[in-house]
Amino acid sequence: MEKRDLASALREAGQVYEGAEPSREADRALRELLDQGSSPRSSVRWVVIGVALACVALAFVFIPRSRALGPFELERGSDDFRAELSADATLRVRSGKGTLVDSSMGESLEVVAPATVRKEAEGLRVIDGEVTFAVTKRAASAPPARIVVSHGAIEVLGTRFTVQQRADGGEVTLHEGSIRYTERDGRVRTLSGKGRLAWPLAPEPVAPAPEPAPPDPAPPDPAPPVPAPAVPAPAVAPSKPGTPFNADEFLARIDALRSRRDFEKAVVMLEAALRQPMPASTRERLSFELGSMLGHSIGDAARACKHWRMHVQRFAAGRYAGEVQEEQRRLKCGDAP
Amino acid sequence: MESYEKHRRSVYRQCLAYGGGSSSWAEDVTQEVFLKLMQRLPHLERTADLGGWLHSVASHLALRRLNRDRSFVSKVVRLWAADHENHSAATDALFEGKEAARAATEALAKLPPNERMVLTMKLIEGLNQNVIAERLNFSTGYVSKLVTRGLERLRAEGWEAPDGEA
Repeated sequence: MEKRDLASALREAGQVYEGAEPSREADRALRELLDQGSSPRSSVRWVVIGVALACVALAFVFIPRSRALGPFELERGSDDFRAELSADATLRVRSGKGTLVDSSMGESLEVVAPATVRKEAEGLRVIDGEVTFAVTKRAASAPPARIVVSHGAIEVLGTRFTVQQRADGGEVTLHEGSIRYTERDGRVRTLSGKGRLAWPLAPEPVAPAPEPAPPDPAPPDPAPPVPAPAVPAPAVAPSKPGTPFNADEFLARIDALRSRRDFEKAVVMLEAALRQPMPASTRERLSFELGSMLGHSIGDAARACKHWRMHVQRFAAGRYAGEVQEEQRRLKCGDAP
Repeated sequence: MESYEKHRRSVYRQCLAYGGGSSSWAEDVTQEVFLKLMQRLPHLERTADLGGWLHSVASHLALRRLNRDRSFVSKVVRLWAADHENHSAATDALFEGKEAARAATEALAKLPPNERMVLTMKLIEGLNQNVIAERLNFSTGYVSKLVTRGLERLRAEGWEAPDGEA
């Protein structure tokens, strides 16, 4: 089969979209809604969807000992294990206990009634109750398993742990391995070996955000998301000699500054961090973040080009070589290949 | 309303790209974006970069919609409401005479939502992977993996795709 050029075909599609306009009907309908300040009226299509969902929601299925439970397989269950799977793939364990396996993510969960979980695009959400997780070893290229809870998310780095979710928060007890918890405001905590962590995390002093943060993309409920509280820029870590540099926590702080558009402060922190001892791969990653911040977020081509020259000298055959070349071409750095 | 006038076309065109050329899909998501703006307006700073915020919201809502569209219930309802035929006719008109663009759009639409979204943002919107990561709240490493996986799938379909790191 003759090969087709994807990039040029999609550029052509992009040009088609550039000339498109919304229909007059849609434009008029939205103007009316914005004028009224009201919720959208149900079109026939949404009435149909509403009726269909109502019919499906009435068809709750009680699955005593069946193998398949939506995205999970029931590996074993007590005699009194009962669970129901609703139309939106929410699994409610009503009685007993069981072990479920999500082989696509390499996770197994022991659930004890009453407990409710749901698999989402963002990860597996524990809505309430107690669930113990065991995650099998994953390929290096696979993203970490992710467990979403009320105030943040747990990323599994290889381990076994128990999550208890209540109405006002929860806690995770680590039995073995390591996990990283990220609160919605960007604060990160890592547990290794054995330990316990509760959420929400204790509040830190905050400054009002100068810019709004983008909304939370994941939650399925229709209520508008609450703006994430801003986190003040902490000191560059670590100050104690001999303490290993924690790149993940550091980059989470950089992300928080980026979300507040405080790019210059992020640049100062990155430059200071790069003066500390750290593994070569971490140094390359931070250097790439710094160059991207200078070239994209701040838009200072001169500073970015200067930085990219140093980056290329140090990491000539590094893992970001292609992206760095593209950046140098985009910024018209004098010595770009 | 001033914000709507200023940004409606760019948001619609962005949603059109995410929806594979489906005008009704794009109109629905555009409506969600501006209704969300109406809800959040009291909380936004006067000096906020509204265009950037709207485009970021459009990315989030579009991805959520793409994930929802893949559910069995949603597919049944769309069949019931005879949506599929209406979408195809509108997309045919949009790409008339541009077979390569249509074929590429259809190929992109078959990818899992996260890969589809990231490749649309990279190859149609021309966004850098860092910006994509920032907009979708993904790590840059995850965006890189999605790009690589998506391009591998498209190459398997006979497309000559650029190197994922470029």
